[in-house]
Amino acid sequence: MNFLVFVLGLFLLAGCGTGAKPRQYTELATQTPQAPQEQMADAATQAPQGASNPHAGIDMSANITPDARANLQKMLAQGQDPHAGINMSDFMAGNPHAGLENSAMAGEALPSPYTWIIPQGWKQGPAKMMRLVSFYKEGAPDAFDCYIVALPGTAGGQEANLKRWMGQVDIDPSDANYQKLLDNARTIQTQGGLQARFYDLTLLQQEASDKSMIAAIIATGDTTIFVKMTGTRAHVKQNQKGFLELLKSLGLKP
Amino acid sequence: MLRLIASVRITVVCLFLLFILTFWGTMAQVQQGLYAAQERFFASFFFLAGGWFPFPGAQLVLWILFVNLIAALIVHFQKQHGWASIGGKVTHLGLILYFAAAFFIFHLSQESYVHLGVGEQTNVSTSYTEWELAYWQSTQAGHRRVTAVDSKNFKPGEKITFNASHFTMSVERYYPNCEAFDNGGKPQPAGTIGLDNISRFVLEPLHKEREKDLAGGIFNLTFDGKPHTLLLFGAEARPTPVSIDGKDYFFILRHKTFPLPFVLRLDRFKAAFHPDTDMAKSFQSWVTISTGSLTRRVRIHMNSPLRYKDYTLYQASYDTDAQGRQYSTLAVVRNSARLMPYISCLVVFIGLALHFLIQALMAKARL
Repeated sequence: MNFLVFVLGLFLLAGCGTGAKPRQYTELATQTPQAPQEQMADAATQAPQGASNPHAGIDMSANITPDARANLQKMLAQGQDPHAGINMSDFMAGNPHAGLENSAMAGEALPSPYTWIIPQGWKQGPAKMMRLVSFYKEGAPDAFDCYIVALPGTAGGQEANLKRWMGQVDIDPSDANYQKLLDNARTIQTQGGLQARFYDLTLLQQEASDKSMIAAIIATGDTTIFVKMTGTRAHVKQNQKGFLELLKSLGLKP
Repeated sequence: MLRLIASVRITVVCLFLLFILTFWGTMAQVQQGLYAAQERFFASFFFLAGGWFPFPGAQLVLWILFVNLIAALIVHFQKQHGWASIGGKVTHLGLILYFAAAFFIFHLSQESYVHLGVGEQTNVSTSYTEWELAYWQSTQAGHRRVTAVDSKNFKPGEKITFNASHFTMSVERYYPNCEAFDNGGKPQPAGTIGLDNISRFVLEPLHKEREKDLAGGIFNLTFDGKPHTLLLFGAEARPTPVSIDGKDYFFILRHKTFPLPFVLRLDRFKAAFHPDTDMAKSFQSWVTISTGSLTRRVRIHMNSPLRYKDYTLYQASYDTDAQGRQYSTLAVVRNSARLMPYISCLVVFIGLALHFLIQALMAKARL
């Protein structure tokens, strides 16, 4: 009898901890990136009364002399711009790119402000021309061409770009096809908090098409990021999962 | 009846079934993934082999073996008295302790990880597969006080017991794995709160590797006397800010977070590769562990984990971002019953030593 009670007790113990009871703990705030509003709220709580200092909360003590600190505080108290009057030529003199006619057109890699995780079985190729990065399949480098490009502004706009891409892969860029493409578009949140619109051009094609494309457009305000994969329809479909993994991993450099 | 339960035939059948389950479960991990195979073969009482044939899972087999062992011990006590059988009894006791250790480790141990870049520090670890709904108010001096509930058993209509004074919250729908969509470029409906214009979720099948799942949830949030709809997506690393009664609250759906009794900082990381390949040869992390009263530097590498109380930190993996910054991933295992298998082993050793010693002495006496 006692043994049965013991076994029953063990079973009951096994079921412990399954309820949705609240837990409380303190964590260091560096673990989760803060929302912009939270950063502003934090800065506001640490700023002196009455000040509207965008640098509030940043400890510059290691980098700034006492005199400079006093001057900065004085300027901020008077509502002056502490950056006014800075001669940008001082910075330009130290520009490592000075003297280059056009680094992008010369084939130099553009510095990337983005982060990503390379999907399993893929390799990262060199950045070239306007591409921030290219990718290819390990062991089958011609299976597809995948790359990331970032252009200022809207880069021609969604409709113009999508219709152009449709033409590139032999899809009639009619309004009806364009609408079909929009109807099947998906929004994907990347791990880095970017919002991507994913377009699957393979849905408008025959199975045996030798030119196909999947693409994503990410509008970040002042820049539009394009992530594209081209190849035969079969290869593009086969590698769509990797493409989505790459897309989801995109983020901004800290 | 007791003798029937104590039958050695049951022991042999159970051991044979465990052999089959171990082999089958290990092979199935290739197709089904680690987590799904563990659930199916080792954490279950029964599973359907081939989709129709009920086969006993490791849980059931181990329970039967445990009961069989207890019965055998009782029969042993009833049959044999005196010092001659003490070795066998102690050995049985050691084996029962093994089972108790397995039970406590299975139900009470906690597996999670920390992922740190060089120079970063943390005082929490993160679950691989479980999720939580958490909120906090604004961060003070680099720390935030978090209130969280496990989202595993969220059901539609379930009230979330945050016990917060300024708002109430309930589950409208919870998605263990989903994709998030916006409203075709249109703004979110009035009363909807969510980052990046998310307006709906579409349920996706669970991944074989459950750590790849992305949870999503639609929650009813009532404050200032008005109902609101809060949409949270697990892929979103940022918390969703909500202004309630003039104060900022931050809500997030994220992998379950476990507080650690120390602060861990990654000071340095080194990965070595086999020549001219991408194959890793070794990873090493130099960390500083601070507990308030104690600070020490430790090197964690393969087969050399960091142990602190119930916690063991192993070097698990590493990754590099596009800027070449290196990140180290350390597996964190909390195991309150860590010493039990060692104690069980010692008891079995003592039992067997006693048994053979007594047998040897008795044989000598008979000569």
